[in-house]
Amino acid sequence: MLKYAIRRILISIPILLAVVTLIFFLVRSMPGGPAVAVLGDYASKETIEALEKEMGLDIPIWQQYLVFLRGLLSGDLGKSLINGMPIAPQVARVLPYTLELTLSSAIFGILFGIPLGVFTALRRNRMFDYVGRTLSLAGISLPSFFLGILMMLVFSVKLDLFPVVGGGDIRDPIDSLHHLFLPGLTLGLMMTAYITRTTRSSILNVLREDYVRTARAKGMRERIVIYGHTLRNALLPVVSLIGVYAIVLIGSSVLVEIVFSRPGLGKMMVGAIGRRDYMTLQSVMVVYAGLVVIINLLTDLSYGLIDPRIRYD
Amino acid sequence: MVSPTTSVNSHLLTIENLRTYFYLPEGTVQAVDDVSFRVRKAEIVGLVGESGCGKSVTALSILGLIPWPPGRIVGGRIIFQGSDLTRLPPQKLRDIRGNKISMIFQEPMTSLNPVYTLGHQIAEVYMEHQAVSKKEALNRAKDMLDKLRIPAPAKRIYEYPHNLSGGMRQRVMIAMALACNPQLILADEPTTALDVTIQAQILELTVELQRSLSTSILLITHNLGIVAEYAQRVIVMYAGKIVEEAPVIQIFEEPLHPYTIGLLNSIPKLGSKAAVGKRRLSEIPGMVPSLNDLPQGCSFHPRCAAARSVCRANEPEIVEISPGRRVACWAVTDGWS
Amino acid sequence: MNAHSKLWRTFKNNKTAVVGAVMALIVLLTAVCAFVIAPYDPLEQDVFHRLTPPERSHLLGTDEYGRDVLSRVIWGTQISLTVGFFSVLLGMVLGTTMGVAAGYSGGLTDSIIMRVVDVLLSFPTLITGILIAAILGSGLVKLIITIGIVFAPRFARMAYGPTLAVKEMEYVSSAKVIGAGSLRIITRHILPNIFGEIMVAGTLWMGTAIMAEASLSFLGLGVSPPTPTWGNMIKSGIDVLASAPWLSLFPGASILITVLAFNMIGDGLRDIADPKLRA
Repeated sequence: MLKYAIRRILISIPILLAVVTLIFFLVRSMPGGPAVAVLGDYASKETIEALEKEMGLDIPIWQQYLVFLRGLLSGDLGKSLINGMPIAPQVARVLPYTLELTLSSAIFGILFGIPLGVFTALRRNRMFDYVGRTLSLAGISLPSFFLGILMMLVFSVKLDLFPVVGGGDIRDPIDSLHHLFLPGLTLGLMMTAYITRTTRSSILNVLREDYVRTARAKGMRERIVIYGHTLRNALLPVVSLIGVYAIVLIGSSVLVEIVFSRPGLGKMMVGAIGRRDYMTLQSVMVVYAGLVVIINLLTDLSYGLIDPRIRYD
Repeated sequence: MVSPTTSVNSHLLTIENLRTYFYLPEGTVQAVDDVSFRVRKAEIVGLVGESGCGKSVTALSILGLIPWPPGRIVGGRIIFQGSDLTRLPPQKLRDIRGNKISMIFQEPMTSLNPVYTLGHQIAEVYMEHQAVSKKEALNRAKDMLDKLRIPAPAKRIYEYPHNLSGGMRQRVMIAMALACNPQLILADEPTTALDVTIQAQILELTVELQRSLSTSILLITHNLGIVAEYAQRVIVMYAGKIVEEAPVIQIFEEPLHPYTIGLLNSIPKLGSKAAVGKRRLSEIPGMVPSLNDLPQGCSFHPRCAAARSVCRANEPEIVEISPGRRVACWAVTDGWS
Repeated sequence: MNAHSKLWRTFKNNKTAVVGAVMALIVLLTAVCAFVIAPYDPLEQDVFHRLTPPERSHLLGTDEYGRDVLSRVIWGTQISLTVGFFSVLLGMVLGTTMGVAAGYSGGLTDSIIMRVVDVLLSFPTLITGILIAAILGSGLVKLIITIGIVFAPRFARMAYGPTLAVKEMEYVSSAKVIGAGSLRIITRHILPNIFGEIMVAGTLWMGTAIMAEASLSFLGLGVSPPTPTWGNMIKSGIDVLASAPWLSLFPGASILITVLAFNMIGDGLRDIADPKLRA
């Protein structure tokens, strides 16, 4: 297990580097060049050059790259092109909201999705299953922002139970939760749909395995056959997929943050695009890259922990 | 030979007119079609036939392990210790499985759960049927591994199936089957998936244990050599039905059903001209029919040299032509073989 | 029974796929016949009837410029299906080329291409899409290119494995020995093998492509108003959600129905392709 863990961690580093590099060059390929974009097409040549110098854009590109990397290692995410303020503190301010949203939805999805997946698998082709399968299929076909709007419409506008916009005061748990509820529920339901489908098909696959038949042939009671022998094996592929879905969730969180006007990385990123603030965009994408790599790593490690074929070798 | 007793008491298991069908989109497969036989105490019975003849399905039917959908027992009785197993409530059937009747499966690679330790998989049989603590159960598991000549049992119980070879895994399966001293073991091709050298070891060991425990074994296989070596009685199946049954010596010295004759002829015998390549192995012409599209009359008649019009028209009834000897063949029972 | 009726029977047994196919067909017909069935010009403004709720003359109401929502939804179908189809097609062609090239060439080309693919795939699809859309700009054609680029890596990975496998097979080595050129080998041997799997994936991703279009338009990065797409209609509708929810609801429902249809078909196709996985 240790070898496996070390290998996984070591591989993450070049992957992170590659992603970050790709982001750097992609952002630099934006049309017009950052300075022109900020100042507009009518700015004079001197103003543009002055701004470029200030942004650190007048040095050769590979030097910019090194500056960029050095900055990352020391936690400096550069300065916003629009207002010159350092980006890192801004990210630090909104990151908790995004983490709060993503984490709670993932947990919701796991808590509800796995039992639902098990129940629909066990009641296969009966009413419960048909309803469950249709709902989860609808769940993955529904755009997250539309579900968010529906939630908003029903709970905030009509019933006035929850705030329509904002993230609340992060230091006040009640206020945070109040603002977290609808966006979290939106993403949580989508996550539930994904996990239900995966768990269901995994359980149905495992039920066909020989060792389940052996367990029954030994006279084990059904509860042990299902929740012991079957579930433990069925969860293995589900754990890997939870990591994949969590990453999809990060993508959807951008949309949900926009719908609910909730502070977070997504809102920051879209805002940066709109204002052509490429530095902020770059930094936010780097943070996303870090999140993705961490999630992948955690998923791999979890899988290694629960599969004895990996754990004990 | 022992004269047959008609009372059911000396028979451990009596199967009467068992029918197990599978309802598939391509048609209904009559996997086991009116099969009847008995197994006595402390007896090894060989159940032979080619793949798909219904022998595994028979064993699975005994323990009620036929998956529904698509299969189910549609008729007949399976009498064990005074009860009809086909009519037992699930709880009672579970009491019998792994406890009074156990099963050994063909594929040791896939028949053990990869995420549980070997010790746990054997111990849970004790915990389920003998209500002992986990500690005691693991202890007994260790003793069982020892009895099956697995080295370093105290360490092994904490290992996982993927650490073991095929032969070792099969021993673990046998350990699980023998744990509660069952009266009957259903051994479904127990050595087919193993190396030839290991096969003999496993079989010797199993039979040794069988003798010491006075267990009966229903030995399911397509390998006639194994049957010749270990079984006392042989039942031959073809296309879901029993075609012949006899004590082992009689089957090999004097086979009656054309299918049995064909099977025996297709084994190369040491020293025979076929074995040294001087003559072609004789094979039974034609192919096994698909079970949802059986021929009219006797299922074997399209491939049978002795087939006559009565064979094409009517299914032969199984007749006991001498004590312990049954055949389902018009040629034999009508006296013109 | 012959293969044809067997296929038909399997498909019939899988009602979900059939329902999905019917729904998709309806959507397709709506798109094709938009000109005929839309009651109004989707761009025609009517300042005297702004934000009217659904009623007889405007079955789905009107938007903030007085345009008929029903007509806009109907015309939006065209955009969604067009973007869906062409972006998947582009992704398929781009990705398969990359995957086959990598698998067939081996060596450095292989490593580089597949590493890039891995990196692109590890990122959330939407965020990659946002980044590329930001670079390329908005507009229908650019949107198709954006989504095509986002999908390409997935197809690349799908084409890569079988390419490697087929490359090792004997009939390819013997083809090489008799002097068959690489292109011929690829088209005659490799492509037919991966064709089926890629087609199934393509169908499934029509739904994802439509979602992607809606999401990007919703964020303002896709097709902009006044051209009606379901995504940008929902975006405009948010501002008046409390007073005129129909502006967002109907386009949203359309997305749901269309994506659901493709997902149902995809599920059904998957069941046929691998019956062991049948639910």
